[in-house]
Amino acid sequence: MTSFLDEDLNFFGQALSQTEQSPRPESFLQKGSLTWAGNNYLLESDYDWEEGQVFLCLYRNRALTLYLACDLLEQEKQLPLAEQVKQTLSRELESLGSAFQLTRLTGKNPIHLNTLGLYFYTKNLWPEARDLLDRALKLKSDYSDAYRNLSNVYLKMGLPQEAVHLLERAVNLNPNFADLHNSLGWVYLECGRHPEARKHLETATRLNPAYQEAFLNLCLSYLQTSNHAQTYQHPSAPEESLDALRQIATQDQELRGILHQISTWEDVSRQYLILKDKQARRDSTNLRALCGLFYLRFQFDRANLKRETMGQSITWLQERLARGYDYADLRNFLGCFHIFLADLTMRDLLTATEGIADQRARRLAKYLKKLSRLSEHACGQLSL
Amino acid sequence: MTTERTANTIHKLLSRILAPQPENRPEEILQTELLDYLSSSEKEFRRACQINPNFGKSLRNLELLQYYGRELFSLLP
Repeated sequence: MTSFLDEDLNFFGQALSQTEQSPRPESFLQKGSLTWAGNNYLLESDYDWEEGQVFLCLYRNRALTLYLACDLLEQEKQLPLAEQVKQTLSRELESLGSAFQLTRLTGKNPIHLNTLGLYFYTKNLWPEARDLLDRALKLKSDYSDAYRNLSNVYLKMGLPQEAVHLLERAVNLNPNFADLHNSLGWVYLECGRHPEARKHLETATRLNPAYQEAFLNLCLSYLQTSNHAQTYQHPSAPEESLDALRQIATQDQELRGILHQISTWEDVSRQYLILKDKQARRDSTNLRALCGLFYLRFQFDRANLKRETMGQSITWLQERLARGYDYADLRNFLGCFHIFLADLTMRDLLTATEGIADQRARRLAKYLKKLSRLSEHACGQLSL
Repeated sequence: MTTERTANTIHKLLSRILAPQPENRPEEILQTELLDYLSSSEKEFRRACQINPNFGKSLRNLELLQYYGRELFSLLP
């Protein structure tokens, strides 16, 4: 589009029509904040035009702790951008606020404390996560999941030595937990303590011969200590690193097919990176953390949980499962969420029915009350 | 399925349940609706057991669901 004034109007040396063709990206910035235990948490959401998606920033006391590219529901992607940003901020603020509330409501149950700790860990709120996981371990000293989560928190906080102390204590208390040996092996690797790392990684693989992650960590240890700086251009891979790959290949058909071609240090390194990437893509920590939070919100803060929010969480989880996160524990969460949705439907129906004077509605309300008692009992018995 | 369910507001659902229908009482319509939720749940627990046959939590939840379904029928006036 041009106008007769174009030739006369210039903006920093460019004709106006040109500047009009590349306008400054529109901002839909939304902000929200909450305060908890003397800390201020500010959330900002906007649309990133370069990445083509909504993002979220979380600040604790003005320090940026998290930049997150948001994964919206398929139906939300059809909404105007301003609405996408608004919904993202509202959802994240609600989740964070309820997580803080739950730290008071869930009491002294180590499993719930671990669940909340994991949620804060995924939001990069490490001091908050550390306090909760620490409390979980004081209540249950053989809780391998909490040990692993807390050691990850220490690593993120740049305190590998704390992680070593914690996991050494955990392994002494629970010498037959392969997960703990693997975690300790990994932390030793991070500290460059290879002999100790290998000792624990080998124990992990002895306890669980199908433990791919432990074999992968072992492979890395041998690659890192291989001395080939002044030898051949394409040095051979350490035999132990190839052994680790062979063990992984027993469960990985693709790797089995190319194993005979892998011989040099570079080959094994490349394969290590491919497998590590595969492993990262399979990681469902964020999904599990959010599912755990929904579970706690239903069990302890049901009055503030909307039926629509529960419905959205089901759709959200169904979409992730369809993308390949098809794990038993996530399916189990989804099964529970359907029952929770039935319960919240009964609750809302009862509220709506109670305002109606009609005889049939009163009879229905009576029936709903009985059903609600049954539902409350069933929901309380579900295993997660 | 869930998107459709939650898109139906509670008032729409209640209107459907309480709409005069010669064959079904409101309680029966509600029960059918709830059984639909439970069957979605059962599908997920069964899938979890398929993925990991030793996943005790889903096995226990399946048992609980069967009890829940039976009690749901017994409460129908």
